[in-house]
Amino acid sequence: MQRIIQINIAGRIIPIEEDAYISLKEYLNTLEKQFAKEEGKNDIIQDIENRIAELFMLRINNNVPAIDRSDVQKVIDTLGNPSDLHDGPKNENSTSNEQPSSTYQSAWEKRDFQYTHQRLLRNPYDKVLGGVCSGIAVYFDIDPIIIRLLMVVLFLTFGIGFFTYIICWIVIPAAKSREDLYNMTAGNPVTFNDIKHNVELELKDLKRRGEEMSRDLKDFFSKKK
Amino acid sequence: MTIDNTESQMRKGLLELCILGIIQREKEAYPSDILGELKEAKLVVLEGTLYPLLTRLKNAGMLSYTWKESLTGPPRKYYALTESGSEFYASLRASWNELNKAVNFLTESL
Repeated sequence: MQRIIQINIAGRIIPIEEDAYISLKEYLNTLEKQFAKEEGKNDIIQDIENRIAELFMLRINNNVPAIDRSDVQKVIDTLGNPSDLHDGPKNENSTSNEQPSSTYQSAWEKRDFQYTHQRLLRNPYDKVLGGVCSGIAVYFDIDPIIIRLLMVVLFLTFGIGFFTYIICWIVIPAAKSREDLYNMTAGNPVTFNDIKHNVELELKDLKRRGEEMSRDLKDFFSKKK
Repeated sequence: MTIDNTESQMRKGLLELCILGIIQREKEAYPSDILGELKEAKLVVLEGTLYPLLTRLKNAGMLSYTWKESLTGPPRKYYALTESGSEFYASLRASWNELNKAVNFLTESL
């Protein structure tokens, strides 16, 4: 549910959804800060508000009941990010003109993209259950057998090993390629949805391999007879 | 250093000249109409870059504006060149022509 409010921009009355209003307000605030030191700041803001109102009126005249978030985002894209607009004498070659069409969103995407450092990944190419042990082995560059033996000991002695393993299985993402595994530089931070998705995938894989194993065993015993 | 970056620098540098040219031709220009002309000429700019530029030119005494009633909404701001604005435009245009010639000469002879 959205509350629709009426605002007055540059002498025009515009109906706008509440969250759209909030992001518009945010945009205008950043603009004001951006131009704070500029002589004639009020003129600039006034002109920009006027243009925003004009673009909104085009939408409203198209029989749209109220301006929503996507309309606001479109207007921001057309006008440009505050950092792209301020190209006064103060900051000539800073970030101001590197990406003329960038939006708030792409700034976030960039942040995700930079998330690459050494990472522990599960090894899907050599696994008994989930590839946790061999992943750890790759990480520390030792033989997976050693880790597996250690894990078995933990399983037997305290039972802690069991839970540790399950948690590792769920939390540590699987390597998507051999390259990723050995560089340990895979992708994005893990989100809740990733984890859910991973668990589903792993359960499916485990089921498949369980069926394979029982088939093999059946074959084995039927041959014996 | 990317092509995009260099290109946008070029556009930005020439934007001032183009805006003054449009205003000179129209005698009086409404910012949204200026944007329309720039778009028609395929000189794509972020719309927001226009306004600080207009205000700066106004503060430098190159432009002046008057408010005019509009049929479709609130009064509009119309920009016009001042006397020193016309002179400024003329000299900018002359140096652009020279530059244009020089750049063409240098890059075409290769």
